[in-house]
Amino acid sequence: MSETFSLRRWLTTTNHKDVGILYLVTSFYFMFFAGFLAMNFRVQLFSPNQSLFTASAYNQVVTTHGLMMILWVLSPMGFAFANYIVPIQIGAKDMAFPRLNALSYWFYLFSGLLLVSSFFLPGGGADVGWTAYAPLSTTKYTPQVGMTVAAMALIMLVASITVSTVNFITTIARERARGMTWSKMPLFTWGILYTVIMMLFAFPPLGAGLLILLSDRILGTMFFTSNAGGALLWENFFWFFGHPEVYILLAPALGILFEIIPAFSRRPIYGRKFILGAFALASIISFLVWGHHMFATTETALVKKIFSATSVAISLPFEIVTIYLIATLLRGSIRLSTPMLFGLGAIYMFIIGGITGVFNASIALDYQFRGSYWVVGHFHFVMGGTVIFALLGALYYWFPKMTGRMYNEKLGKIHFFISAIGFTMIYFPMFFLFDMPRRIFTYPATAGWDFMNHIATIGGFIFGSIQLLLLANILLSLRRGPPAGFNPWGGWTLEWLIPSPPPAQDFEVSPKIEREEIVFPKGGSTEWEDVEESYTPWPLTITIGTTLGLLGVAMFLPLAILGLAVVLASLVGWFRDDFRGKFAAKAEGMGMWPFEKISHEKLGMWVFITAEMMLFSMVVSGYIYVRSNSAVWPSPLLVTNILAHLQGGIINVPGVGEIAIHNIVLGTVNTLVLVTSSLTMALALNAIKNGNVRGLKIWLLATLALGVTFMVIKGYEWAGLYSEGFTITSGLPAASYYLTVGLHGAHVIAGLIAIAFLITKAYKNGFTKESYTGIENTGLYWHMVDVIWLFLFPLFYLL
Amino acid sequence: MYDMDRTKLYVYVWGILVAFTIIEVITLLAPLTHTVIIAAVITVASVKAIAVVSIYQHLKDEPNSVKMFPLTLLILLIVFLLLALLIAMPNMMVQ
Ligand code: HEM
Ligand SMILES: [Cu+2]
Repeated sequence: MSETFSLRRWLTTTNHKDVGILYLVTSFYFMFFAGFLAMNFRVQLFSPNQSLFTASAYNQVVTTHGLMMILWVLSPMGFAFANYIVPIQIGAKDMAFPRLNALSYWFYLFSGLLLVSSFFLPGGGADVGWTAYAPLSTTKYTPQVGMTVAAMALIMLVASITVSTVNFITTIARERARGMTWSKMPLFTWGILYTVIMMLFAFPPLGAGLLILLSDRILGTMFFTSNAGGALLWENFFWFFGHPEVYILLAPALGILFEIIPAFSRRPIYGRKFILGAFALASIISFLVWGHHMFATTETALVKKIFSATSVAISLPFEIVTIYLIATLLRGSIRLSTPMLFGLGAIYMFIIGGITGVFNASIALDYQFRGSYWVVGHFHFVMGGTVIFALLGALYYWFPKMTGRMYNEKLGKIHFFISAIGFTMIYFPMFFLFDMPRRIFTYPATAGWDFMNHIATIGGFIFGSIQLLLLANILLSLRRGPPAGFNPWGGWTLEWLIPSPPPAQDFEVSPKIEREEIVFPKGGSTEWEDVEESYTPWPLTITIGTTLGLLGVAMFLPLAILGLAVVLASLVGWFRDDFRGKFAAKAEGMGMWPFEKISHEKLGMWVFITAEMMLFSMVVSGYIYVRSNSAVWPSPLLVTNILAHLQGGIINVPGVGEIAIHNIVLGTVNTLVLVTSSLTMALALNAIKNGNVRGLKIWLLATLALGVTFMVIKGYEWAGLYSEGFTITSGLPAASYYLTVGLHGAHVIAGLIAIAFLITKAYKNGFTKESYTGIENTGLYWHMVDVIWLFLFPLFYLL
Repeated sequence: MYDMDRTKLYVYVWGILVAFTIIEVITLLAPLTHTVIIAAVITVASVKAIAVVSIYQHLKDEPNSVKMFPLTLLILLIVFLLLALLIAMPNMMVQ
């Protein structure tokens, strides 16, 4: 199965190195696609009054370019290296959850394909800018189905990223080799750790915003078109995600620089502890600056001042990092190979981008620069420049490791110099275009913007075409490059101690870190899983089912049912692999401090629960937001004689008018049902911990029955509401109720499916006193669903 | 902990959850201002949630490294709530 060109291998692999290669190839493919779009609109902007594109076509091209580059190129390319290198750097056997890793990849690929396809749908794709500001992105202004499909692509990507987050946090926390303490962990791995922690908290808000957007677009709710929700609701969601996102893009790039700069300066990084501290600080502050994208809205002066101050503060850690990088350079003896050149290029870009960012953070200047090409220049220097250059550096740096061959150094250097010149030619002129609005599709000859635009477009073509040289270099070197050996750069991290390319299992024996040295204990047992075991089709089929399902919901409902069937069948396949103990050979990692006492499934589940709680918190914040902005909101609190109205219904409140409140009796009963199911779930776990399989079965069945009861009552309640005319389109109170409670209901159903699998396994005697992780983790999930309801009940039924 | 002890503890927590749910509903009938009712009901709900998380999800028996995740979430949400209040202020004042 390890032949390079076996299709079956690439479609069913779960090996972290294969997945890394898949990520790399895919992100390059998307980069060329998005880059091609960019060259097109640079042609349009070359001179005044061009007519290559209509306004709408131009907007579609720019939007797809932005979304794709940010979300489907920069981040995933960082994760290509993370997948390949991180497990090796920490001496792990693989990722903690190899199958989930494959699932992340397929979700990523198919979500990108969805985005590309949305572009070719009738009516065209999303034409609303990468920030998708509402209400522009609602059906009122953007009716085409392409926008819906693009939003679905984004949701799929959020799912992919959430799964990766769980996987990487668990892997780095638990699967490190003996002796690989936090203080010895390589900085690239640290960079990825910071990235995934930020992702854990930043992506659920985007997911929540997208769910609400899709509900507006598909179900006909009016969150973003009404006065009570509207533009600001989306902006808050988006930038609460969006600002951390820019650091999420940046962190892997910095991690790469921390590997490359010391390796080619031949000295350890200077100020490692301070760098890690600065990094942590920046990650935290990155969640507190989102308002600086909204200075031009109705934020109060105080809020503006706070966000301006945090924004200035956040540049501080980066100054620290830059200074230490430069200090490392000054004290080292520098070797200017291609990876190093790209590393230095990235630092140069970062300085320019960072300085212009600080200008933006000033409220007064921002009123001038906002929405102009100045901002475009700023963020391309940090994202396009710093991140892409660091990633290209990483490609050259790890290419010998991944392929076993050296690339052509001369071609690499040419690639670097021309790229750096081309890039600067595109974006530096934009600082002089601070009076040219971004997102215009053409401009009049009288504006005097021609010259700078000429340069930018020419630069664009230089930069774009020289990337072909990179491609040629790769293809050539794959065949003819001289053998690289273990360690062409004299690196110190673990990946340089094993052959290039590494064998399927990376290490022959588990490495161990003693004092400052990495050793491979003699005669140590390998216990690696059988390589053949690491192939499975289910991640791919689950993804195909999901894609069909989403397309079906957007365009043709029967397709959605087919998709659902495919997903369910794949899940059955997945769990049957579990029954047979396939993949179980993956022995537990070492369990490094402070995670030695917890299984990787349990840690993964807690990380996942954190993401889920974040998602629900955001949806509930949306509810609180629209509620506090509405003049009237139906609530039992307004009703004078609540005892007479415990059954809910339409009630006439003097001075307010007619309001509809929910059935408090049914809500209470359902709360008690769900709470009781939590009890039975806890008892099920208790039973199996004591080896009582009969008890386990009884309590699991009881939990299933209670969960089903909850859903039946819910269905009864909703049917009643609909027959009274309280439908999802009858205003924000109804919409927020159905959306939030419905999302919770979907989680209940997911939990019930998992419990059904547990029951099957219990009847096949799959659980024993010693092995019950499935019960424990499903229990954790089930209780989480209960906890969420504990808040939804008062928020929607009582208050 | 012995089996029976644990079972008892779980049933005991369940009793609290049921009782507190009833209390939430009864609070609605109390002659209090809306703000007090809202604060009371949310507090009771939070206590219930804490009971489920610490006992049923046995977070209280987990090492600190695991407690870290929900705690970070909690802190972030509190900060978020404060900032959101600040942002919503102009709207609230209009009303
Ligand atoms: C050195 C610290 C930085 C500061 C103080 C800063 C500040 C700002 C400000 C205030 C804006 C809003 C400009 C406007 O729309 O009027 C902005 C925009 C932007 N920044 Fe930064 N920035 C910094 C670093 C970065 C980094 C490192 C990245 C990415 C890796 C980045 C990516 C972006 C993006 C994408 C936008 C534009 C968003 C849009 O489409 O409107 N920034 N920056
Ligand atoms: Cu920002």
